[in-house]
Order: sequence, then C-alpha cells, then structure tokens
Amino acid sequence: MSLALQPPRRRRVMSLTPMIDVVFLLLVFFMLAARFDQTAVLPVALGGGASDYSGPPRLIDVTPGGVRLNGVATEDADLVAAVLLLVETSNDLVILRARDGADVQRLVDVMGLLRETGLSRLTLVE
Amino acid sequence: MIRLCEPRRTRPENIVPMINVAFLLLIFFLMTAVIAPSDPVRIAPPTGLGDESDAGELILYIDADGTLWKDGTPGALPEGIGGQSVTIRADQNLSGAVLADVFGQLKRAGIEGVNLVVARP
Repeated sequence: MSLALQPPRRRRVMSLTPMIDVVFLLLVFFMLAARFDQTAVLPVALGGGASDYSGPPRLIDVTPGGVRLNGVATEDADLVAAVLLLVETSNDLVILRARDGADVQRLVDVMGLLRETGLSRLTLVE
Repeated sequence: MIRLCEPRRTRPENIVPMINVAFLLLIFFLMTAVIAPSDPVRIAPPTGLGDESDAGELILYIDADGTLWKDGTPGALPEGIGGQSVTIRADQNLSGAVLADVFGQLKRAGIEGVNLVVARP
C-alpha cells in the first residue's frame, strides 16, 4: 500500500487587487474627510472695562460703505492715519461698532486695515 | 561556444510582511488620530489675514442668520464657560451687530478675548 501524501502545493501568488481596493477606499475617505481650507484667527478683545482704556476716544463706526471715526465720516484709506494720531502705543484699545447693517466681512476688512499698522488690540461693541 | 551562466530565475520578493507592517501602522494611526468634528452648519468665514492659532477649547459657530451653534446643536450660549479660550466661526454675511451682541454675552460670561476665524485670501 502506498501512502499518497498530498503533493506539495505550490504557493500561489497573492492577489493584490482587494488590498488596493481597500487602500483606495481609505484614501478617498480621508480625502473627503480632510479640511483643506487655510484659516487663521483674528484676536478680538472683549473690552476689559474703563480702567483698561487710556487716551482720547477711538470709536470706529463701520458702515457698509465707509467708516466714521468718532462720528466723523472718513474714507477707509484715511482711517489708519487718523487713528494713529489718537493712540500713544500700538497696544491701545480701538473700539469698533457695526452700523447700518455692516456684515462681518466688512468688519474684518476694517480690522485688517488697523492690524496692518500694528494696532492689534481691537474690540467690538454693540 | 561560450556558455553564459544560465539566467537565474528571480523569485518574486515576498511583500506580504511589508503589507502586514503597513497595515499595522495604518491601524495604529487610525486609532490614535482624533478626527476633527465637522461643522454643524455651513459657514463661509470672512476673508482676511490673521494669526496662526490652534483651535480653542470652545468653538462657537454663528451662521448668516445669527443662529448660534455649539457641539452640533443650535441654541443659546452655554453656561459656565468663563476662562475658556473661545474660537468663533462666523459667516461673512452675518450682521456685525449680531456678532457684537454675542461678544457682549461672552464678556458677561467671563471671557476676556475671542479668536475670530478668517479664511486666508
């Protein structure tokens, strides 16, 4: 009687296709889940009270078409120079107020103008 | 006649261990990663230049209608948030007066400053 062992099986080459499927599925998932928009933040003070404020009033009314510095209508281009006359240091608080339905984009534009000159302590009041 | 060496059959490299290790790493990083929660509402942040910053402890979303969202649910400002770092994601079309109103509420809740998210141009 002869003992018939199974013939040694030849190792089959593993199919890579299912693995590639899974890897691409993961790739697509993370590409969809990822957030690519580049964001930054504008620090806004919330007003620390009267003791925090020094110097002449610096109240900027932001309107959709322009700005009013302490109630005087001013062009955007002239605003920065006018505000710089009213501050002693760049750490002085500047107060902004949205008027006439000015939206957040408009506020951020004006804040950007002020921040370009180094005025970084801005606050927004009602 | 010159007999060249018989061309050796190159056996295919066994790549299974490499795949094992790669998947092990993949699973490790999948489990340790923190998936950022998606925005509860579609917000188009205003365009502008700002500072680099990490996400704050508390992220508030304000959509163009002025609705406040936190943790995926709309509603009023949560209680007991004093001392936390607050990040605000406000829509660019939101009225500035509404934003100022929220800032006033945050100030009364004991927050000294917030970070307003802007999109780089």
